[in-house]
Amino acid sequence: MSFFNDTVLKLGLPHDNFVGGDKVSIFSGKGAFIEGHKGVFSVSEEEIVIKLKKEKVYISGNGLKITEINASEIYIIGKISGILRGQ
Amino acid sequence: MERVKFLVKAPEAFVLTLLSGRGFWLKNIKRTGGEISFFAKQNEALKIEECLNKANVKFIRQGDFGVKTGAESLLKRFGFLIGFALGLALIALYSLTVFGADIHGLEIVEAKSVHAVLKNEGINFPHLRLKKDADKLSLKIVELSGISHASVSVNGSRLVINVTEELPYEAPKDTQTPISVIAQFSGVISKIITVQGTPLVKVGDTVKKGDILIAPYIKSPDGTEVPLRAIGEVYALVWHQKHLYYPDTVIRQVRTGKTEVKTATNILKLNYLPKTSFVNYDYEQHTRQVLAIIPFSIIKTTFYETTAKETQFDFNKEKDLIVAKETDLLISSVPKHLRQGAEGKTWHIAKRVDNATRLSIYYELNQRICTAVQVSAPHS
Repeated sequence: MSFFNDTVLKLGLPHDNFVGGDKVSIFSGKGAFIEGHKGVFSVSEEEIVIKLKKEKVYISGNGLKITEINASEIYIIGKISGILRGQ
Repeated sequence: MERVKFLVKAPEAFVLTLLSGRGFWLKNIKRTGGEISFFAKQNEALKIEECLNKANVKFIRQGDFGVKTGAESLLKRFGFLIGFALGLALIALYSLTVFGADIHGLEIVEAKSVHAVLKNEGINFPHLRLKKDADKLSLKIVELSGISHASVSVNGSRLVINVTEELPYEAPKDTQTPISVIAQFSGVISKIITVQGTPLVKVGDTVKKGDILIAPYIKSPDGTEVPLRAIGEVYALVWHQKHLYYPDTVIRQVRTGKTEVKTATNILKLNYLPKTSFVNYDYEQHTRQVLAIIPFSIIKTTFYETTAKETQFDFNKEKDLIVAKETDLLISSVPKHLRQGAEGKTWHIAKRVDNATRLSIYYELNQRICTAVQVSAPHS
């Protein structure tokens, strides 16, 4: 079982609703990994906005950079000070 | 992995969304001004170009990277390949070349006779080495009179010849002719052991160098002297000494401040000193090895012009160093076999004389002083 699926089970969330959903991970406030994105809405050193299926993720901080991207994953580095989900 | 670098002039969010939405993999994304650069997989490069063209985005494909691409581009650089091959050939040639011979073990036979053998065998340095040469050479060197064994090997770029000489002929020693034991050094006798002969000195006697210590005869009961070889050991307190003068002013070569730097390349580790316009000079040399395999080095020589200048010499300031150095020299001037196991002590006296300091160093040693020497005619 994958790390994410295992986490979903431990949180007691309905498993079927979260398969194929988005996941956002922060690493010590210095890097972020986003899975299940639907594109990049805007990029600046202070804020990166990532489109998800229904919402957006606002990652704010300093010196933010997208270092790698593919169809489902985005890797971001920089000093991350906040994350906000919303429309 | 083979990769392609792209430089795209378009908003970053747009380009990333466009290409990631098509499933392309983008890595090392960097933003510089209004442009972004990234690496993509080489097999996706054409599709990325097509996608960017369709979106009317200006881009530059900057180059291909990776082991395969690097190897392919390297193979197209004929000049580099020829140079590399030539370099390899030179290294191979150098490693197979012998530049000189080191001959060890010669004491009686002259080295030039071994060199003559090398010359006769057609070995003139530098010489391309062959195993057959070494085997043949050993046989030829052994043919020289006075040599019992020779081994020839190549060590790096030197031909190493180890020679064992035949034992020299020694005439039978005469042990019967009466000879005296005489003093090799002046001193005061501290011990005398007479094995054969008549001792002429006793403990406490002062002897001079050359004095007979044990005479080559014994007296028979009837009073006649019977000649024989004198044998014995004689020890004495000997004072080795040296006296040195240090004037108050000395002429020394001092640097004028003018320098001249000369740089030269050196291939065969030869000692090299370039010419300088200075008449009197000292110099420093710094050698930088360029390549580890080929002995190619760059020698930087700095010449310092010097001039003779009368300077004051403060003996007292350097006294300790001078005394230590000169005492060591005095001790080492006494043969080692005389010093071994013998008791010795040193002291010095420094005395002012006219515009100079006189330094006397003494080394007292209780040592063996005798040697057996044949007198001009047997004692009768």
